[in-house]
Amino acid sequence: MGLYIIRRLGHAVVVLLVVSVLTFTLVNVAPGGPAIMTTMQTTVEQREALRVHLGLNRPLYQRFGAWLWAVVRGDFGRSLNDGRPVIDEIGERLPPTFLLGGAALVGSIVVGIPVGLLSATHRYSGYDQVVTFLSFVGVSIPAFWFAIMLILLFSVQFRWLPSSGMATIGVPSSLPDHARHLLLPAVVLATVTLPQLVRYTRSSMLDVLSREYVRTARAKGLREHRVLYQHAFRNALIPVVTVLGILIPRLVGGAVITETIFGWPGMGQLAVASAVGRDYPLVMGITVVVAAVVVAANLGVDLAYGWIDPRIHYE
Amino acid sequence: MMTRGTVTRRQLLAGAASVVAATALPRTGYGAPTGGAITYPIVADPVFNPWHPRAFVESVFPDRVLFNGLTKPGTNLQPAPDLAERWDVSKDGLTWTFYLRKGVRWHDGQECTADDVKFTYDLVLNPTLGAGGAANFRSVKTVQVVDPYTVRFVLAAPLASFAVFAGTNAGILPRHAFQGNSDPWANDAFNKRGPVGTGAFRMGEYVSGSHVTLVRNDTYFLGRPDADSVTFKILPDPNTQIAQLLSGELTLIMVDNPASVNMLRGHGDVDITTVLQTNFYWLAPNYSNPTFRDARVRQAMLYALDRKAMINGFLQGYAREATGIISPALTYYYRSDVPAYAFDRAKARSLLAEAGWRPGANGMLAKDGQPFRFTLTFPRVQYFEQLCALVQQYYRAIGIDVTLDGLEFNQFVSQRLLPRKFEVIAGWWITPADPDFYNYLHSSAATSGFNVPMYSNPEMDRLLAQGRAASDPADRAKVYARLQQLVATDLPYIYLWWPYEIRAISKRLSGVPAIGLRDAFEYTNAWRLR
Repeated sequence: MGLYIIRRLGHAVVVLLVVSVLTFTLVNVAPGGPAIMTTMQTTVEQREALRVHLGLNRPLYQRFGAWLWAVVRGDFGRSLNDGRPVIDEIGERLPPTFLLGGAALVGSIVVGIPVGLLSATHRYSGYDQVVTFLSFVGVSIPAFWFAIMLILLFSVQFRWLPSSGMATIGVPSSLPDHARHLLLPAVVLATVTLPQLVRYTRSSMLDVLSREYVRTARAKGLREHRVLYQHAFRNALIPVVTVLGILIPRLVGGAVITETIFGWPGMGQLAVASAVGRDYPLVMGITVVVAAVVVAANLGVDLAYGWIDPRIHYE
Repeated sequence: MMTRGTVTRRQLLAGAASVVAATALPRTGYGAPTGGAITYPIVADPVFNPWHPRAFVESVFPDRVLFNGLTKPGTNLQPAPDLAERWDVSKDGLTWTFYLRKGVRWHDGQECTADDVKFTYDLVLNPTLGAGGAANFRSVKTVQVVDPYTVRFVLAAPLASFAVFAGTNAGILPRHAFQGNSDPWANDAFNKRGPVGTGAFRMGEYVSGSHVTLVRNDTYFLGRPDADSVTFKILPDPNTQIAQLLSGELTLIMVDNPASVNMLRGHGDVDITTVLQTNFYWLAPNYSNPTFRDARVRQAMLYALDRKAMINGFLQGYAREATGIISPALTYYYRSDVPAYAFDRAKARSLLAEAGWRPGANGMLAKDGQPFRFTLTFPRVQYFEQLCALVQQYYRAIGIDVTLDGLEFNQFVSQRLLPRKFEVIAGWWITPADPDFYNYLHSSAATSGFNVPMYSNPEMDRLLAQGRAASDPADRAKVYARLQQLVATDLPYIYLWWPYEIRAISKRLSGVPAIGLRDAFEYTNAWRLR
């Protein structure tokens, strides 16, 4: 087990290295330049002065080498456009994104798995059909449209919920206030994960229910409740956990749109701003952090298999 | 792709907003700002330093509240006193002297003096720093401190617009806050967290990606401001901005897309007003291309456009057909008695025929066997995609074959505009409220300045220099009258229109002067919330 984790961490380092080489090359060969030197009101002299000032006149491999060496020592450099340390910018934006993504994910699990299970056990019932219909609507609905509709309904029309930010500005921070701000963006972001989770849980459970050991359990006279929740459910969960591993990176992508619309001060917003502004060190920092989160999530999922299914061993 | 998505969103929101308006429930409950808090949206994290090369439009608003320049834009668009209570200029126009207000305090309590002014402008004049807005001050040679309240600028060439430039995003920085900083752009303790200004509101709280709250400066030199605070919320999405204005979470907004105005109409608690801007939209033909050197071709290119239809179409009427580059907003300088170019295809065709361009068998124009065709480059922002698609059709109708080349903004600037790699390019200029277009038309600004068409005309150069040398407004007006005549006959830019700024302001707010909103933020001390 310990050896397995060490090996996986070794893989993670290789993955991060490959990701950073690719990203560094791509952002630097992408046309355009840092926003700081690319406005309509910049003269050629100003641009040249800034290029030298920011060290962009050095060859690509030298800049990558310098960046990598600094990162190894824990220094992600400074944002080209803001002049702030990249690590500070990311440090500020990571907690809001974790909060939003975490709320969407936990909400999806808490709602999605039971709903999917019931759908499977009541296959083709009216309930199942409504759930199936709603999950298809959820998968197909564009997040930006859904977000605007929720804002119009709950913020503009009824004025129940705020439409942006993490807290009411100018009042002491409180838990209910944060929760109210979190509700709409978390619901929108959950449309990325919830419908998928419902569908996978349903089909996985159906698959398990047709297995022989379920029939055996029923044949030996176990109560249906026990058959479903002790024999079938745990086995149905394995593919669902795999899907979670796939959905977590999607949450990161979904956060981009959700955070932009709801003015949520997270990584998604920052990622868009840094890419549009060609802020190379910031793009690199965000990529490495997001890649690390995804790698960690996948490792977590792999380890969770062992807990769900004791037959799985790590070597 | 993105633009299409935006339009759809807007249409959907328009539909939904009208449903909301129709049902009009009583407006109570969540969202009303508490106790005199003004809230305004900006689109990204700001930089609290008006000279920072990264101080874009999102920084302009907070920076104008935090800092003061030597002058500021007056409500009549003439420069008005700010940190300087008066100024004068020598007869030869080469020495400007500014007399500072006494007893002005920085937000940290220290006094603001001529040393701070010199420190600020030395930073601007340092060519290795590439300060934003530095192009306006190219002719300044040195800055001298005469005494703590008098500062003198010595120029290499006259610059009559100096007093205007010194009040446009030209806030004075505190010298003491930058001591020991070799790189002023990396001083993020100041630029990103704790700016120290002299303005009506001082730094309160900044949450990156969320908001900046500036709180009242009780010792502001023009008296205690009325509102408690000014908050800038970071809201990149224009639809969210509109929704928040309607829900009362914002006090005022600037409406970027005229198509969105209809969503706000009929809302009892929002006033919609317009202000004619000094900005102008243009097509710039590349003068290194012999085709466009012929003034008749440029005139034909303006005659061929039905600008009225474009303005009434995707601009919903919120612009005024340009008759030149100096906007009628500059009432003192603007002249309407110049040649106008109302839509006239026959005229366009005959001018092109005079220039040797005749229709071939397929109806397309050709000269010496060469077809009249060019690429029109534009940025994929605002409404340029619609604008250029229409331009393409208007030109096709008179036999000119146009290929469209739309680019993401960053690419547009770095790959086409700055290296001047284009045949015809579309864009817009936001200029200070002054008729001085030296940086935009002078031949010396052709490759490295803002003279995008690379226009070069000795007569124009002479007028531009004369305009800078004439310090008396009446003399300037005479020079600029001649310049407007020349611009309207020679068409260095194929000017399209001056847009109206559309402002949607909560009825609870009063005291916002009827000038462009950027300039109006210089007067937040007098804004009053009910």
